[in-house]
Amino acid sequence: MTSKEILVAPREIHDLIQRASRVEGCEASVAERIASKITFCEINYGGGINGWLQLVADDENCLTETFKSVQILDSLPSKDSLDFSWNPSIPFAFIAQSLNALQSYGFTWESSLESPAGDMQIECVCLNKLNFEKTVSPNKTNKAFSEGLQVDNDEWENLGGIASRFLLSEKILDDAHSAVYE
Amino acid sequence: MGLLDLLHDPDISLRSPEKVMDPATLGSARLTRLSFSRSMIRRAASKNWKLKRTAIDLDESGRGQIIYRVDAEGHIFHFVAFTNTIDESLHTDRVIADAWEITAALIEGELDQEFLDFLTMEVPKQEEGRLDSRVLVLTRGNRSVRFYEYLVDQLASGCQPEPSLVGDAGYIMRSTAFYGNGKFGMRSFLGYEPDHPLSAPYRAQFLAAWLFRETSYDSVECCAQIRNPEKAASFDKEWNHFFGLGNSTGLGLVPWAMKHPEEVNAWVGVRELALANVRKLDGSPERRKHLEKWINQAYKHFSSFSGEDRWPWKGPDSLSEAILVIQSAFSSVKDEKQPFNSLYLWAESQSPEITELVVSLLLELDETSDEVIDEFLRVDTSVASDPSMTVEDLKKRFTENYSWLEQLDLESSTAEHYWWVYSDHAEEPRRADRSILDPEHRDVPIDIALRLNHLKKDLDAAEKATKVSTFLQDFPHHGIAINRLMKNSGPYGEPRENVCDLNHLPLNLQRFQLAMYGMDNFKAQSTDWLRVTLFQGAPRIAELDADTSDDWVWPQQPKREREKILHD
Repeated sequence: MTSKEILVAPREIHDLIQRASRVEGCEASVAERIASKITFCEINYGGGINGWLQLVADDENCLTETFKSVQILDSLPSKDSLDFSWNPSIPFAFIAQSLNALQSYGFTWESSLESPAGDMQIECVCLNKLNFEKTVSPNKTNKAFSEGLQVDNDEWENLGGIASRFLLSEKILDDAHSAVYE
Repeated sequence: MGLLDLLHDPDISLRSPEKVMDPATLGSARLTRLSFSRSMIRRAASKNWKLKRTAIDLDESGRGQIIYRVDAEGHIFHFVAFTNTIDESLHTDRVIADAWEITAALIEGELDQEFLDFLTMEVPKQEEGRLDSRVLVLTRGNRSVRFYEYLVDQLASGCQPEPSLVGDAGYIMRSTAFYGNGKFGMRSFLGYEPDHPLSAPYRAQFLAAWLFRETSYDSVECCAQIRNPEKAASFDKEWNHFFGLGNSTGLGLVPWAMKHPEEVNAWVGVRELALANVRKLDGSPERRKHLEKWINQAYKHFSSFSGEDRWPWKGPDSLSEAILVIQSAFSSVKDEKQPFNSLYLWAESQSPEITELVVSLLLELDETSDEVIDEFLRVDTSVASDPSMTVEDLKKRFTENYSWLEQLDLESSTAEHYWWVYSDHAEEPRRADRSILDPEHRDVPIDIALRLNHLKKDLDAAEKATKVSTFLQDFPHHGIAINRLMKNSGPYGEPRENVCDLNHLPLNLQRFQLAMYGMDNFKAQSTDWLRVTLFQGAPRIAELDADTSDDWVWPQQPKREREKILHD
């Protein structure tokens, strides 16, 4: 780990992405799914957090739209061969988990990315049914849970700064419900 | 068979979810032999864990450092506690404090100087610190303002405490948080290998809590020794077991219960299976004697205290009277073929607190092995959703598992009174009045009953054959509710209430979880928080061996010196 990296637990990524997505305007269910996708990608491919940050930096309203554009990948394709495209392109972080799930149903996927990472832009992905079940190795996930995951410190602080706006001040909350502590 | 198979087995006579998950029943739960504090000590005793204090360096005010070492099944752990004194005005039960008299961490591995320096720097900072996967639990708390100095003075002068002055408290120090599972960079719960000694839910937190309680004892005895080396006494046998660890608990338990249906189902499910097993037993003389011993122990415990009812729960006076009634009820059925079932059926017609007190007593007869219990409690929450499911499938699940929502009056004017939110101070969960404060995307989505109610309307309007994934593309905001339906976490996964309703009482869910942990002596301080004790009566670490008994709970308040002499 370099001085520019910080060791974090998977749940911390999930929590911060979920909160930061709410701050960026996502409904709770959407934020929950985005957090799951980004955490999966960060663990298995890296670049998940940066992919999320790049997207919201470009356009603060595009998070929900991007989420909607990738939801189709959460369905089982009705054909054995299918192409999906995005214009403008989207970060790979938003589709990595869905592609992995489809692999478990026998679909392989191809794209222009040779070594995909979450912050790489993707325009098109081709699915082919080969009846060959394959998913990412659980080793990376197990290691992340037992040892933590190294992420870029600047990105982590940037994300934490956005996520912190999900919290409300004590003063405001005391005014909104005074019966908590007598 | 797995837990879910057993909970759906028609040959096992289980209590209905309608009864068990009713808020009043949840809010009457008591500790049982399945509670985490007891299962942790049973594991430590049966697996021959070795615990010892390896360092204590305190001044006469109790400021300094205490370290314990645990050798458990080939794994080494250390509990490192940093102690201080703070002004009484800085004491608070809330999680949001900025200063504490004790901060501590449970770590796995050997403890060299470099690691100790790291802990010395980071642990006292608590939420502001940064930890790594060697650290399993982070905790903190304060001394009892009323009792700590008194106890030190008593021991320093060679005396034992006066029961009337300290007996009702039941603790020397009070904790306000036990963080684990990946918080602040600590190891994730899923990072424990299956055969790891702390791989059962909350076992790491309860080992830390037991050592926190040991710290409180050692701190008092060490201070007394420093102040009067020639005359100072140690706690005698009764006082050595009497004090537990105090704990104060706020609203954080409510979001946890609503976000973890699989875990809640497992916690309740193992208890209900055990109860079903006990109710089937015949009344052998040994079993009857065993239950009578526990009834007697409970009576002695509650009657050794005095205390009136404190809303919303019974106090020691009422509980000791209730136990006499239970004793009488058992006497009248004990010669029946299935006397434990008869006692339960009698209890079912009593108030929820009496029913659950009887359940707690009956479970002392359960013989389910700890290995089985631990396995049932380790739930898999990673079940993938089935992309072939249709709207019709969801509606069927709704009818099967969520018809109880109709009884919650979710269309009433009070149903959405509150929304839940995290404060910017220690991320403490709070609830806010919707008429005063708009959520603006800051709501914590534990409004499960409301979400399911909204989903039902859109499902009713959708084509039955529509794939759920297609439905979700049109209604992405239903993701959390749909996930709840698809997961099918078990019959006991859902508390039967709407936590956003004006009349929701958080104390019910809080007490349920605290009882599962093994806490007792519930004292509500408002609608939203309460004080409890844990490990009252537990052995000190030096006493632990393979013969350590599991009947340490419900100790009696120690007698006065004079009474002891008369008694002896």
